[in-house]
Amino acid sequence: MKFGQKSKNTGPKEYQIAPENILEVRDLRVDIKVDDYILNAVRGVTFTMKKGEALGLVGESGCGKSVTSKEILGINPENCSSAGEVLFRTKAGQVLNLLTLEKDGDIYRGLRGTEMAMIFQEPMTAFSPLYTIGNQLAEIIRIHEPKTTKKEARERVLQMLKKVGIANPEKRIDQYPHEFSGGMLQRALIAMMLCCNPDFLVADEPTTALDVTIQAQILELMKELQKEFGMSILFITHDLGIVANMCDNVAVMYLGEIVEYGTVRQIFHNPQHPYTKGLLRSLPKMNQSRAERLYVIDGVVPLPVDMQPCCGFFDRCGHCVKGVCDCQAISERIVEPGHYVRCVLTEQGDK
Amino acid sequence: MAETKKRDNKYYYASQWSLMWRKFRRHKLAMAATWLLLVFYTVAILGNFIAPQGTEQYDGNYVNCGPTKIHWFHEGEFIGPFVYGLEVDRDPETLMRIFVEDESQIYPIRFFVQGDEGGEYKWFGLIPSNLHLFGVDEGGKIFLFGTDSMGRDLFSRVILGAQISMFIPIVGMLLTLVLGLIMGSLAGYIGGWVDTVIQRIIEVVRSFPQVPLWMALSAAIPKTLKPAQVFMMMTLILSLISWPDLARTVRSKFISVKKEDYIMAARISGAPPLKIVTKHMIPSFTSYIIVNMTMSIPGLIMGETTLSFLGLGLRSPATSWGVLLQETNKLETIMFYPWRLIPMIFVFLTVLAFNFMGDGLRDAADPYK
Amino acid sequence: MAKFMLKKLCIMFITVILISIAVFYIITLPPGDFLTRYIGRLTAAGESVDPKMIEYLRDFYALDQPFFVQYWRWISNILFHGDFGYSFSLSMPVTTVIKAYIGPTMALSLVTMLFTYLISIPIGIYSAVHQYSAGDYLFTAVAFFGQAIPNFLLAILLMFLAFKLTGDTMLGLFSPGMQNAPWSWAKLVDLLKHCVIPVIVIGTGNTCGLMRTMRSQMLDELSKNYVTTGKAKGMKMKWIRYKYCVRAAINPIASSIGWSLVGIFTGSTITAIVLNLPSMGKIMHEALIDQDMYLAGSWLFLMAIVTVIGTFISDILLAWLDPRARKEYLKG
Repeated sequence: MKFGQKSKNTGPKEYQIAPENILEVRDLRVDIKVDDYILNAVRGVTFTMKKGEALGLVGESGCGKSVTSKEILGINPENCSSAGEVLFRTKAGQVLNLLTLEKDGDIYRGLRGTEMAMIFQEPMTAFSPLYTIGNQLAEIIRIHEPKTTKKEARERVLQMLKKVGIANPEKRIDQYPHEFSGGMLQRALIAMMLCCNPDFLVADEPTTALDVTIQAQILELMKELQKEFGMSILFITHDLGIVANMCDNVAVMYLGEIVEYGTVRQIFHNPQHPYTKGLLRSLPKMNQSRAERLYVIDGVVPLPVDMQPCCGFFDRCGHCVKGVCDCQAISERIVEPGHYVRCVLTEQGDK
Repeated sequence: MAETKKRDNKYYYASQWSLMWRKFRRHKLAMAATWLLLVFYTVAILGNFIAPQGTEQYDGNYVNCGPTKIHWFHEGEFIGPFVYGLEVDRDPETLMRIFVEDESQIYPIRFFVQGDEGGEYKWFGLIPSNLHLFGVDEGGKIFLFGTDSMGRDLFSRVILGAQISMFIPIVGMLLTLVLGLIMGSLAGYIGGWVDTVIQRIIEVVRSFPQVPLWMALSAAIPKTLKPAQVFMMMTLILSLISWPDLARTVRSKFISVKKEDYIMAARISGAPPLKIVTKHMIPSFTSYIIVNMTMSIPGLIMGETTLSFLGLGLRSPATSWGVLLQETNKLETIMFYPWRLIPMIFVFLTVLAFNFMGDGLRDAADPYK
Repeated sequence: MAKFMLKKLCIMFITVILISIAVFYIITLPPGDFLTRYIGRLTAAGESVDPKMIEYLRDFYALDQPFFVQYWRWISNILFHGDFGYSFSLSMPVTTVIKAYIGPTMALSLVTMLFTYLISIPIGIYSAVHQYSAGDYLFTAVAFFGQAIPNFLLAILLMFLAFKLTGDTMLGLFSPGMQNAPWSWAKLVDLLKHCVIPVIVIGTGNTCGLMRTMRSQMLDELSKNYVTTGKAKGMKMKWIRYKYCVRAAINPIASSIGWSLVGIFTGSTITAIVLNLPSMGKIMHEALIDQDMYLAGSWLFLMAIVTVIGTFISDILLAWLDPRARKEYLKG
């Protein structure tokens, strides 16, 4: 076993997480080096996931949700550096701090694909155009189970393709990605990532690049598969509708921080953070009159460069308290059990 | 924090060009190259003034003379930059003519001097003058890069050669640009049989190995033409051969841009085709063209130098770097008079500088980095 | 696939016809027809001119006829009789000259090409994988210098160095004493020794260019999304690089073999002139200086055809390597 810096100093460390949890992320920080400045993409994210839970990670583009999830899998590019703890329970029951593992090392690679997997936003670019779908699907089986023969792997791939609803898999398996439609490729990608039965799946905006009708089909498929395989899914999206439909819990991210966390019910019915409220208000409603314009949160997400302790949202917030929000780190407040928020207004009793 | 916010906005709202400039400035080598080129071009433009001698001046007494040493101290005493007088002698072994310094004669270097007979020139082709940046008094000689087999000052010839070697590529590039843009946009915008015909032409020109084709075309230049006419013919030949590459790029860009929604919108709203092309389509890949053109200059410089070197381009007494190098073609020349290779350094530096500048521009223009 | 090849062949045929017209146009470019120049040359040399012979030649090449009649005469002679015309500077048929020189020229070009690919592709991959490492900087610097130095200068420089270091300028393909010696081990070694400079000179520009292309292609591929997918699958980075990235990055390089051939011909022409190699480049140069256009034109024609064939091979290679291109070609 090869351990990183931390464990070398203190000796192999036993990590403990609650028995019902599969994942605990503690104060995760990720910095990305771009040209000559550093982006503080993730600034202290903490959350836990139970086995079989579907957690929605919601936020605008650039709020760090993809970076967080890729850091869990250890597949961020080399210009990213991280700190904190990501504790993961393997199928064998061992708890590992993923951040201490070598990213391209045998242990971590052994986890990816078999215990944790990820499906991506753009299925069209997620496959190499040069090899057949069958080749790329069978590969994941043959990496993790080297004893499998080519024929067995092909058999399993065919079954998987059938399971994700690809018609005529015997023909499809020998086709190249460019011969698939976007929706079909997303199905194939899901099939690939589920080939080795992972416990934990990250779905990074899996339907954003697809047509609306296809979106519904893919979501339906994922729901079924989750039930069948009993996976925990970290669902990354900016679509609150999907969250309401798919998830048990929601974490709202803004500028590299989780600003509010709770069950779907808590977040939708009793939002606390002005940002969450803004997001909910900007959802189109069925009974909204046509003359009414859709709500828009003013401004854009700033670039997280040289971040000082502050509430990331202060410059776009209508309730910003000068001298507090813009210069102090905001601690987490408990609204009710299982519902947390990072906003000073909550304590002051906004209502 | 307020400062951070301001910077954010700058990143969000900066125009394409200021973003490019910002990135380009960070590319240190490209910046250095740009400065070097600026210096070279300034010197070339002011060439007649900076060069101590004109193109036709020579001194049969100082044939194949090595670079003159510039001294600052005479017998331990500082007296500013000066040169000693030169005396002709014979090497006792090889009996070759050599030049030795005569330490009794001191010629201080003077600035803004009137040149010798034959050094006359006209400022910008208008105002006659014989003012030169530097020189020494009557009787003294200063050859910074030595002289050639006719006793011409190599330093002057390098500078005057730069006027041709550094401007042929620019003129050639502009011609290439015009040809490439027109042909490329015709093929890309109109399509159909026009596209087919232009594509065939491009393919035919590209099927020829470049340098042999250059050579063949240059060989057909009548040998009786004046240097200025040869110059024009050469730029024409160079650009006739290099336009297809640009045209191909422009064509493919046109085809991809044509499908963009904003072009469709402009068309539906009834903008005339020429306006769509010039206002909407070409600006969308201007940066790309600039990079492409910068990268094409080294090839053009090498083209001119190579052709002249092979005796197929400009010929003496016209002066270009290629002509200067052609005169060093013989091995003996390099063996005995190595300073004759000095023009090579300038070819090399110019090409390198354009490559670096092009590289910097390309990195700066790439929106995904 | 057959249909695709057939279509490509048709386009190739049209291109070759257009090329031949262009070449013939170049042949007729110098002022006055070649016969007048030939007569001028003979009289200048003090030789007598046989009017009957002149009349015959004028008729044979249809010199008093319009351009396209002349062209037809020229091309039909090539097509039906393999006759490329007459070299007046060498006083022998062009075909004979070409036959004598094509062997060494091709051999030199192919050796150089092999050298170019064997060196540039691995270095390009290395540079991309270890971007911004000391090695990358070193190779980048070498590539820039290699691209910035014109072939003929490199030739002069190496000649100079060879003379300084070994006392031999390494001109030609053999040392003077070896030229007519029977083939032996020593002669082969001598030949190889003399090949070093030409190969370096001809290959450097191309090698450096390809190195840069390979590097940037590879960098492009390394930043693609399928690399992340591969990582998420649990693939080893090394394996992702070789199975996916290198394979994808090499495609455009493979498809540039045709152009690469052009570059090498270009390089070999000049190098041959400077280094006095018995290849067509030198002959072409002399022919051009003398405006011996049949010889020069024929050589140009042959090189263009080799390029067209090279391009054809590239297209097939690309279709074979890249399933997307394959599909497009198959569609027509």
